[in-house]
Parts: sequence; C-alpha cells; structure tokens
Amino acid sequence: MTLLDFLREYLGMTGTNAGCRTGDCGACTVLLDGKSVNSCLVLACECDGKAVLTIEGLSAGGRLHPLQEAFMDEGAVQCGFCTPGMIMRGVEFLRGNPDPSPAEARVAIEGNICRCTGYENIVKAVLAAARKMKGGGVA
Amino acid sequence: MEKFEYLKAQSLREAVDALARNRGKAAVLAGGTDAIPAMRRGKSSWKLLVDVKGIPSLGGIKAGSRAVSIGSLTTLAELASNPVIIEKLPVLSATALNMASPQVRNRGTVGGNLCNAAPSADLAPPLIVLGAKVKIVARGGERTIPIEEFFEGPGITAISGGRGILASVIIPLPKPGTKISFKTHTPRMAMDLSLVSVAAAVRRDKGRIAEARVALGACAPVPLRCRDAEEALAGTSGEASDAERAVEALCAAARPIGDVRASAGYRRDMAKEMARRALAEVLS
Repeated sequence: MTLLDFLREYLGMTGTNAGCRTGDCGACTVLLDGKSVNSCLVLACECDGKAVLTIEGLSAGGRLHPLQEAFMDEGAVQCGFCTPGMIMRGVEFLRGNPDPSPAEARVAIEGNICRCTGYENIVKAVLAAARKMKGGGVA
Repeated sequence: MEKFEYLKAQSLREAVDALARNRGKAAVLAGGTDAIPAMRRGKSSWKLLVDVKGIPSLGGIKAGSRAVSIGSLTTLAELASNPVIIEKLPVLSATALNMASPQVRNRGTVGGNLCNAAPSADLAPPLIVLGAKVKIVARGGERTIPIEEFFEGPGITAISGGRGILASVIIPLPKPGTKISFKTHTPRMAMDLSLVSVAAAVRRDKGRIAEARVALGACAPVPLRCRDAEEALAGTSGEASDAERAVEALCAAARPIGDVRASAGYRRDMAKEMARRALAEVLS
C-alpha cells in the first residue's frame, strides 16, 4: 500500500489528493522527514518511524500557515485540486530558500501541475508568503 | 498493486542473499520512483521488494585525492547540492538538478537511475565520459567494472535477475585541462525524459587532444560510448573539421527508436545537433 492510499483510505485523511498516481502531477505531495515527496511513490511501510506532514497538520494553534493564507489572499486557488500538493511543496521550498526570486519560485513548483490558474497567482502567493514569514510570522 | 513481501534489509549481505535466493522474483527498492509505478501499472510483479535504504554502506559521497565515490543510495537532490560534486564534478550536479522534479529528486537515487537502465538515463552519458566505474556486490564477492559495461539492454544490467547490488559509482577526478559538456534535448524542462543526449570530455595537452570520450544517450538499447567518435578526435588539434568527423561517427553509431516522444528520424537529427553543441563547447 502506498503512503497516499494509507493516508486517504486507511486514515481517512483526504486532504492529500490522488492525481496521476505515477509521480508526475504532484497533487499528492507531503513532507516525509521534512522533504517533499510524491506520496504515491512511497510505500506506507517505508515510513515506519518517520514524520509525515500533510496539509491537515500545517496550521498551528488554530492559525493557518502563512503560505495557506497567501494562497487565499492572492487568489491562487481555483478548483483546488493541486493546492494541498502545491502548498506542501512550497513549504519545503521556503524553508530552504526564504527569499526566493520569481524565477526560483516558478522552478520550485516544476513537479506540481495546475490546470486552472496558469500558475501566476501561485507564484505570487509563494513570494507573498516569503515576505510575510520574513516579517516574523509562523514558519 | 499485486501483493508482495517487503524486506527491510539490515546489511548488504542480507540484501544480496535475499535477491539471490529469489532470483527473478525479487527487486531492490531504493527511492521507489521507478519501481512503485511499474508495479502499479502491472509492468512488473515482484513477489519480494528488498528495501536497501537501511544499509549505511550504500550511502554517502566520499572524496579522495584521485577519485570521488558516490554511494548508490545518494539521492538526486543530494547529488545536485553536494559541495564536493558541485566543485569537482559540476556536470553531475547540473545534470541531477535538471532531472524529474524536486519531489522525485528527494527520493530517486543514483543507483536507481543506473539500475533501471533506461537508454535515456541522464546520469549515464556524463558518467561514461568521466570514466566512471561501478562497484557491484554479489554473493561471490565484489567487483568493479567500467560503467559502459554495466548496461546490457533496455532495463537490463550486469546485475539484473538478482545477481548483486550496485554499491557505488567511482569517478576519477578529471585531469587538469579537461573540458566536459553534456547536452540533452527534451521538449519540456521538468518531468520529461531526454529524447537525445550527448556527453563529451576532451583533454588537451600542448594544443593536441590527448584524450577524448563521447557518449550518446537515448539513441540505442543502452547508453552508448562511441569509440569511433573518440578516435576521430584523438591526436588532432580539435579543428571544426575534426569535430565534424566525430559528429559523423557518432551519428553512424546512433540507432534510435521511434516512439510516443519522438520519431527515429527526429532523434537522429537532434543527436547530430546535440553532438555539435557538446563538441563545440569542449573544443572551444
């Protein structure tokens, strides 16, 4: 059983979306020990003893993560299917690169496909979250 | 996905034994980025997956004075960001960074890219021109072979069918005066395989080409070292006419297939163009 199926079918945590199931679309991206991975390409049993962070676990103390807020503020969501994967990938990216250029933000989401937005507002949201987090928000 | 057994190997010996005992029925699980979708699609139906990620000796990048050793479990992300590789073998870090996506690079390994033995495996051509060797651990002991001898066909290697584990890739540090280039052609930057790739390495000594290596990817059943192209360059002063003779030799060796990504004719034309670009860079 893949980590994706384990999350959705066994734990009932459907925040992580199942898209292509072949590692191409990025919709099922979660953080495994802090690194973004396609959960459809990981077996659940490989995660024994590891930390898995999904979109459900991102808010802290009743407050959304700055990147979640930025997605709302910038209108980076249309149908929403790619959003959890985009955000989990964005969270890892901003941890490693807190002050990215627009070009870097664009390349960072090269493994996440969005068919609605044209990516413009997603890139804007990643950059806005970076500014917000530098201002002392939650990381 | 069909049912299978999962073994988390604690040692290299345990993994090698499990593969040998279950010949043709077991596969190594490293990053899983090729193995898991292949099983889901029913392309492979392994009865046993041997997870080697808990074997410490398969990981890590070690730099010596004359060679760098890259453990087979090194992820593409680690290869892309390792300071030793960036400094001493930048062609490898740049190649790794261009492969797949961040998520796949966080999981996919150097050993997996080579053992999956796709003719388009992007690490293969640069490793061939670097003169890399692979260390194989099998039941009978360990051996080291030139990387171009590791590939035997599409998806087939010297260790297919449970005949061992790829432990590391050993790369001699390029001698002073060596120029290396790797050109890939792919219609999309992310998440796509190379339609064609050409790697070249040239070392000059007093103006003459003392050593030349050329390799071609995605244009034959295996990543191909092209000795005819190398001979066309060796001993010359590397003029444009010498480069063109090498390009012709390389095109003569190309036997591309036509598939959903590109026709054979298009691959042939692009092989010529990538060869010209790679050689122009190393001969400049």
